[in-house]
Amino acid sequence: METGFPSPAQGYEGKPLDLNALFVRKPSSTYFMRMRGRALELVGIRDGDLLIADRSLAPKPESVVIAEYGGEFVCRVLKKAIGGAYRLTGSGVPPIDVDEGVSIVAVVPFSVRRLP
Amino acid sequence: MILHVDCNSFYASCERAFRPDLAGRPVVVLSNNDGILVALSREAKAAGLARGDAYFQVRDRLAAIGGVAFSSNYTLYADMSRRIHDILTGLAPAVEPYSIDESFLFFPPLEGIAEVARGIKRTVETETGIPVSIGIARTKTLSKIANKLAKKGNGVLSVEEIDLDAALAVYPAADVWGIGPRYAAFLTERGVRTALDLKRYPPELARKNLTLKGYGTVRELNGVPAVDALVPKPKQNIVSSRSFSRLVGTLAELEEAAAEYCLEAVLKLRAQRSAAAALGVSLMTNRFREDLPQYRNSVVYGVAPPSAYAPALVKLAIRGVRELYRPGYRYQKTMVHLLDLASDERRQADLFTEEDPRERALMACFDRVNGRYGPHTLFIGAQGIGKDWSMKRELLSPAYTTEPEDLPEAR
Repeated sequence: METGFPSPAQGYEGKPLDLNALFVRKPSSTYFMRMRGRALELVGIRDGDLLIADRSLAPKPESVVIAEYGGEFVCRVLKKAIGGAYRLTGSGVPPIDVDEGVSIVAVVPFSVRRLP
Repeated sequence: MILHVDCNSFYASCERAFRPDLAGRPVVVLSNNDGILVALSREAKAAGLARGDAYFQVRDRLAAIGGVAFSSNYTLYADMSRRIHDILTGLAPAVEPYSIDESFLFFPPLEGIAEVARGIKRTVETETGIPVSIGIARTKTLSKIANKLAKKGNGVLSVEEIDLDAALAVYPAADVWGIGPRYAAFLTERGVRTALDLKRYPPELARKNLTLKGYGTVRELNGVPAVDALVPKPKQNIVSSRSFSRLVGTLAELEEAAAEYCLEAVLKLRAQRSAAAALGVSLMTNRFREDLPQYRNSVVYGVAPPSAYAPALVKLAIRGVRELYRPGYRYQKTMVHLLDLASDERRQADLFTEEDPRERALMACFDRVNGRYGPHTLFIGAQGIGKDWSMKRELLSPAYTTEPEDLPEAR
């Protein structure tokens, strides 16, 4: 900005904040999805929320993950039982044992909601 | 070392990546206008369907085996191709895209290059859901052969791990990259039937009979890199055309089509920073409809000085269609060619005309808006709005990665 005399802030300018830089760690492996249903209400994800799904992240217990199960994508919390077995859990839905019929494809580090 | 990375049934795999219900089922993708099969999943091939089959002829058979057909969703395929390219760029010192689903990766000689390749394959598949295979060799031609062989195994193959000559002995010469049907026939007449025969074809004869490109192929089969183009050369001409979904009879519709195809070509022209010194327009009827009168004709205009100014080129394309048009014919296709391309920046100044700075400014604005909001945001009025002759794609899947209304859902 040209003004009559030099700005004292010159040289200190930061880049404007960019949501992509904050929430999309790796664009080439990140996909946006839409949550349907109430299976994850207990962790704060509601029907209609935007899910930011990253296929490059390694799933860990307590991660929110996207899995292929029964011919569709499901969004669940990954849990590890005391015996070491992994399960996908949600509220109001039966838990899913992670075996050959299940494929975890992405981790969801962020979700986005439009407020009323 | 050269790695040839190639996606398996790319279009079909893109469709399946967003449809978990289609895992293990036959999936096919159709050509423009939903005419023929252009991509098939493994299950579809196993069921006897093939590229080039007419969709209407195999539709019932496809349904009977639980298969699904899709129109070509170029938006989706382009986005997935870009993602794969970005992933490969992060994993290799140099990447040269060859087509929408193939790339060459260049590595220095490495111990354990096959293990590196397996890691690349795993990463691409995990991060995109698209299965790929990788062939490893010292030349591009051999890496492509290795890739074909890799598909029969576990998806990664280095020529140094196999008896190469034994593999070349059962590999048809006609399938070798750079050998087309014409040279294949020529070679067969001379007893050169397999890739091994071709590898052993005397170089002087290759140079004499097969052109420089064929000679390069022979040398590459012998492990000597000879195919050029580490830097893709900008295209020397750009063609834009498509068949209409129905036969078109009116000049107004043809003018709209010519304007649209011309603009599409101009976008590519501007993207490679070239200018066209000539513009050609062709018009043709459907040559398979022998019951209808036939007409094919074309016209070429010189463009001086060479131009990348969309309004002027579109005007020429429309003029071309007007000159070619004959009433009473039902046209199937129009083509617009931009010819004799030269770099826009370095073209020689024409002594007699000066470029209008307003034209440059208008096009700069056009490029910026389309660059920011997507191609075809700004279009030329002559293209028409809401055309019913445009490409039929009735089985189009959602634009899962580029349209907010089309996001895949999770329950």
